[in-house]
Amino acid sequence: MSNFEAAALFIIVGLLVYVLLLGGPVARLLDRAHWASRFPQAALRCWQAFAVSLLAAVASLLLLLGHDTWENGVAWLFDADMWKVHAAYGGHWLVEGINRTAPWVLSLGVLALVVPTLWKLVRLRRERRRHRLTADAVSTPGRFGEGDVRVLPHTAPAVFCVPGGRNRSRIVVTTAAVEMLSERELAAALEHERAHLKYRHHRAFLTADVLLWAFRWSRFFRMYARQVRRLAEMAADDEAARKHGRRHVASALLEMCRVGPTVLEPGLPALTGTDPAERVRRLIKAAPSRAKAWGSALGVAVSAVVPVLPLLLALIPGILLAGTAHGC
Amino acid sequence: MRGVGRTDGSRAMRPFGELEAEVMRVVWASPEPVGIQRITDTLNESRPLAYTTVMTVTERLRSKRWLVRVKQGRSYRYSALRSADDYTAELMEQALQSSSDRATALLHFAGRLEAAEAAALRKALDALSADPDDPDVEL
Repeated sequence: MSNFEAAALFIIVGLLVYVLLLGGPVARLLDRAHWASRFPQAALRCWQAFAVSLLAAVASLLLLLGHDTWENGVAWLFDADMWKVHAAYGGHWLVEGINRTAPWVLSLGVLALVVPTLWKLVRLRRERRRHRLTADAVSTPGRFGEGDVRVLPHTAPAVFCVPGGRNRSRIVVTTAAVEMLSERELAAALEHERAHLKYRHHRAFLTADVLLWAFRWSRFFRMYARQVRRLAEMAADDEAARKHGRRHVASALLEMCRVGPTVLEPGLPALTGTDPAERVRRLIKAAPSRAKAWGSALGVAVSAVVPVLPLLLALIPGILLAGTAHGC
Repeated sequence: MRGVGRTDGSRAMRPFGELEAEVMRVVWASPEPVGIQRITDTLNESRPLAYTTVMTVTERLRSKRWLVRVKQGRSYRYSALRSADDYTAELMEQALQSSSDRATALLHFAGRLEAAEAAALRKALDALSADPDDPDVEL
């Protein structure tokens, strides 16, 4: 039995190392990776996979430490012998106190994530509903390319979208922006917004906002929140550039930024993660990568494998003991 | 009777948002508070709508605090709580907001650049030869 005890300890240590590696050096590597700006959407998926994986690893760790719940679960799941499972996972080396507090920490953590998420979601929905109604009531429908776009009479140039489900998202452009941008530039800016909606970037932003709010002290989640916004903008730029040429996207971006947002809150720009100068430079430097299949395949592979890794790791002793309940 | 009204309401469910916008436009266009019948008549100029549908939509707007009602005689008259300009201003304030914390409700296209940096980037962009990946330039 002692080899099983060693296995459990090994797994706890393994998960701990995994958390430290993923949250530290691996995330820093991705943060600095050059390929990320060439395949922004794939990199964005990687970041999301990392975040999920990190949270799953921490949750597995807490479950393992609070091993009563875990052992019963594993014994039930694999039809394994309770005593053998206990021998594999349970440690006399673990203080009873840790066993009892870990599930509490886990439930509190889950609660601390779920409650603000729901609260933010409700507030966002209400806010978006109001914006959508405003867009519908105040602006006039205009036809620029496919899909309908709302033209809002206003003296400040702006292009933006109100995200929402099917039929409920709105792309809005002000009359000033229509006047200022050339036809191609406008088409590029609108395509950028369509790409945001297509990739559902608003959901990625919401997740990032909630996680940043919950783990602001964590360097990993600060990097993650910044990169999600940065990469989402780049992915949308690429989508627009593929359709209308990068020159028009960069040009529209420059035009809009020249008169762009005047409200710049000090102390926060680090969080926006969207440096328009970097976006323009990137568009000038190279065409958006056409090797889309390669990039998205990588993104899909990472986002499929990485999140389940910690769970697999935690389940190894359970799998090894599968079916032992009948053996006794 | 009630069942019929309900079917009518649920069928109008999808374009409800659009209807709400239309009702708001009618109320804003009128200098004085308007009744449901007047709103229905105005909307009926473009398409047939049941009185009950318009009433449901108008009451929804009241519960959202976009409209207020006053009793005049035996019926209610509705007026807007805030002007169209107020809502536009609020929407634009968010659209031009460049910090992430409050901008999640909307996704906007541009950010902000220093004038000098924008000029330098414009120069670099102009120096870029005919766009090699421009779909129109391509063969």
